[in-house]
Amino acid sequence: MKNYIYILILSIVFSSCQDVIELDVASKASKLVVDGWIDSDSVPKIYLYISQPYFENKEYPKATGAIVTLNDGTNNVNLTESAAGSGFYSSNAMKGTVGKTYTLTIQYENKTYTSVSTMPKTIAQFDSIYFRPLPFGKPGQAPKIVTNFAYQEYPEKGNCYMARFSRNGEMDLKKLNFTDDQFINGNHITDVFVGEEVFSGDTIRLEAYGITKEYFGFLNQIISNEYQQQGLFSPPIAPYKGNISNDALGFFRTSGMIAKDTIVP
Amino acid sequence: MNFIKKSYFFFLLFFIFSSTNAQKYNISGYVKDAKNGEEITSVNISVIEKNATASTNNYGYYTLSLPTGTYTVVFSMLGYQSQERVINLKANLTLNIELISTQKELQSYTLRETKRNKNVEKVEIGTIQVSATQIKKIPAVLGEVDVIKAIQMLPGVSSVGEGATGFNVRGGSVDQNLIIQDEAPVYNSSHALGFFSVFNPDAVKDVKLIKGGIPAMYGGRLSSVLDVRMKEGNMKKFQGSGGIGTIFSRLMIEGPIKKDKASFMFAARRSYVDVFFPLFPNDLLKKSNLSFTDLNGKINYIINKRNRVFLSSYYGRDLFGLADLFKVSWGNQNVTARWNHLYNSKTFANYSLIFSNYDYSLGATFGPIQFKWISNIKFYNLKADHQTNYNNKHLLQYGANIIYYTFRPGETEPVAGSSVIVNQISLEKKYAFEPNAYVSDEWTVNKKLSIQAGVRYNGFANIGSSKVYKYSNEENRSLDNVTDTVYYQSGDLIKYYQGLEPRAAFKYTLDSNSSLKGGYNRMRQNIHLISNTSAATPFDIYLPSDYHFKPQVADQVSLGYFRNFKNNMYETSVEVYYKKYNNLIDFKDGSNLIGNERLDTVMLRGQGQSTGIEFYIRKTEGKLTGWISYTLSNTTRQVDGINNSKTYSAPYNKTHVLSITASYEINKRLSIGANFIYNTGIAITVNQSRYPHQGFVLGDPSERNSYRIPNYNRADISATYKGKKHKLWQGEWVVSAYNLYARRNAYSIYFRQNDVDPSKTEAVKISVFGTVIPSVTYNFNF
Repeated sequence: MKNYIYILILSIVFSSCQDVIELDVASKASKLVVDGWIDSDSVPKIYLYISQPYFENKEYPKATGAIVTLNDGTNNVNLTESAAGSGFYSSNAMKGTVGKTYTLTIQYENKTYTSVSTMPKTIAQFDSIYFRPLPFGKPGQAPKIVTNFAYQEYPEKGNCYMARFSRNGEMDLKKLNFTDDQFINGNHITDVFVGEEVFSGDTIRLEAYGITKEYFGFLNQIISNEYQQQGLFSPPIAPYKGNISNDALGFFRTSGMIAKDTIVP
Repeated sequence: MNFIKKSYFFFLLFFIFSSTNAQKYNISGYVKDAKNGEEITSVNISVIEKNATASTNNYGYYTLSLPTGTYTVVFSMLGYQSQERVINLKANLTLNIELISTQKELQSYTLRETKRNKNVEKVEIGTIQVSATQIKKIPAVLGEVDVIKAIQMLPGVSSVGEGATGFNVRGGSVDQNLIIQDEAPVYNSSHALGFFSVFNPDAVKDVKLIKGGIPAMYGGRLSSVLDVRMKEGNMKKFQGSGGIGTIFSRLMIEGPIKKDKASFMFAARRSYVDVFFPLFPNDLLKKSNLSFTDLNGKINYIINKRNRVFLSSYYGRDLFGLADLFKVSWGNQNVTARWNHLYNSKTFANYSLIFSNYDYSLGATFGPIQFKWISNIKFYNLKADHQTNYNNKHLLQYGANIIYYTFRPGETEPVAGSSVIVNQISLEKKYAFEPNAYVSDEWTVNKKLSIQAGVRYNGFANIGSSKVYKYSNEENRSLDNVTDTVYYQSGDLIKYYQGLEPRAAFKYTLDSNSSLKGGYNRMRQNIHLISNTSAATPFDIYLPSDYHFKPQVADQVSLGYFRNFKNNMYETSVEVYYKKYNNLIDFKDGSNLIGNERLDTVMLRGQGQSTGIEFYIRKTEGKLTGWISYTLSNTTRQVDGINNSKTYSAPYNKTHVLSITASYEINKRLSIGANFIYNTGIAITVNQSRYPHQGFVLGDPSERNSYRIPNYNRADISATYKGKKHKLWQGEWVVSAYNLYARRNAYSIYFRQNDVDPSKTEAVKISVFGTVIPSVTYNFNF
């Protein structure tokens, strides 16, 4: 929090001095990239890519023809590529269950990559979803109306959550909402506001995910690497700590998930 | 408790050193400025008939020991008329001297140039004393004369960048500098996020930077000592000085409470941008604050020939608030009480009681969440320093101190009316005692060779109350391998660290104009700045050595060649150094240090080294004065767990640093000054490849700090015009331009997705100053 305030102060003071520059950066050997997940009561979805030079600005090359399997401790299923060349692997033969340990195995170009994750539970329920103005607004304008919710946090320590919001079917994944329970453990939490401005008649969907501590750390790193770099007091960019073996990049996430649709009155 | 016994033992040690020397008599006394009665440090005292010399110490006191006889004693100091006294020595003699300044310019700044060729003659290596006058001549950001900005132009010293707090000495990080203001430590030396230092130039007497061959009397930080001494107050008459600048307004008054017996000094400085806020139509701005303040006060009283007391204090504060949304505040406060006592003409003693506090608080309203976060570090020090001149060949210094620390790393305070229940969090407070003792001898072996050798004992006791986690693998601590939690009661010893710090320096005179010097020092540091950013922020906290954090240790060797030309008009030196660090603290990649209750699980320990060569040429006299300094250096670190445990560059590691500062006196009224700075860009980590994750473009970075931002260069100029001397006062105008050719120097580089086309990624350079910064300041004295 302190860093954000600091960055805010500095951005007020020196907002104008930014220039896009050409930077001569050596290229790095390309690596397999995993962007995959399985949620409770849903099928697994695994996207495989190959990393590319940072300033390439082309579509990501896809890792096709890989052999992908998923094990939930009792069953083993093969995830097949949905269409040749798509790099998207899935299967209808398995649905996620909270508490099970999932092992993802990928064989690609003579290398084997694995990832193990135990699916964490999410919040028990949304106790309420309601709409109210933000506590502050731009000078001279009425504050925007946003979506709020309340929930009961579990008594035991160590839970992490992520919330996603969509308005009329449109979701911005880059609006990250996530928390651990360090500051809120066991409390009844109210007035958590998410998403953008809403209007009467909009259909709002809220999704609450339980996430592992590893994924909580990964999301924190996204904040640190992609958002906090703009200040003068940024931590050094650090390599992401994913959960795929054998030097592959990315993350395989498992989550308990609940969702609720509401129409804005 | 064991450590208290130990420190008691060291206190006892002093009284074993008592001096008896039958055949000789002592000449001793204070050397003062005839105009204001301020003690002058580093005055050279020489006896023509004998090969005997001495110099005044930090309190202006000197002592010489000679057999019965008649002598001519000469007191000399650059910037003062030399004085000769013929004495007939038959008994111990007190000889107080008042030197007359030759300086005819604005008297608000007392010139404290070093003695001619002192740089060659003195045993100290890696030590530079800068006077307020010299600092004043250097063009400064927004015309605000600044001690730290001047220090940053010396060889071996650099900064992370514009807007970064503090400075780096010989590859050391910002927290490795012992910054003391009248003996009290200053934890954050900057205002306004690093643009201005906390030292009010009107109140500063002199500044000494020691970066190598650090004497045994100093300890506690690895890399340097910045000893800032404030004015004592004029003993003869009332006077004052002040100024109205672009940022600050200043006022300093000093004068006798009782002539030649007691005096005071009081200085205040405040920024005043926010004074105009209520005039703005914007509601947000109307209710906002932005200010920095410094208050210095000092009283001193000469009780009698043998006793003198001082009371010095400082209060500094930065305030920044944006309406009701948030408010942050930080600052140092300190108080020093000193007692100078002469046991006999040979033994000078200084006893100090020092208190220092650094705190910050921030309160914020983020939607329904309101909180107030507070943090502080408190320091209490009881210190004894002695100096005994055995005969003219041995100058013995010995002393001891004991420090008590309390660290309050941070806790939330409840705010009434907050609608979201935020759990009280409170990072555990830490307590520690630090006993130290030292003894050091400056031995003049012969005309050519002088040796300074000493040793310092450092102990550190982390005490309860506290809870300590034990791990199955101490070298790889994580939340998952905690095996036990041990609770310590208040006052219980948790961990005691101790070690000896050998110190040594020598000077070998090659001829009357040149000498060779060398130095070695070991330093131990027990308070650690918890930061993983390349530049420190005012919100970074300090924590002590404890069960898991070990003391940081550095060893440094340095060698220098000093030579003066043209009758000491030009001083030159070349110094090389090698420094090795152990137990350096760094943090695991991506760890969150703020509000982290378990820093022991993200802290890593490593080592580092710095090597460098420094060149320095300074012209001390004439219409044109100034210096050129150039440093070539390399600083690396190796920490298991960072950068695949491979060696990497320290972030502030700048290969080349060149600083030129010059001032030219056109006539008695008008002078001009100029700076030029060039340095290699700081080391950064860049993204080499990229990949997608849930709508994000993530970067896969290079090795840690393996790239550099573009080099930095900048020129500044200033002109000073002195007004006519009025009966009661004299004024001067200073006009300056900082960043003269408006270069947009890079401060850092970051990577982002393009706003318009998010599939495109780009590198963005941040500059602090994108343009030339002009300023006008009016200074006056009376």
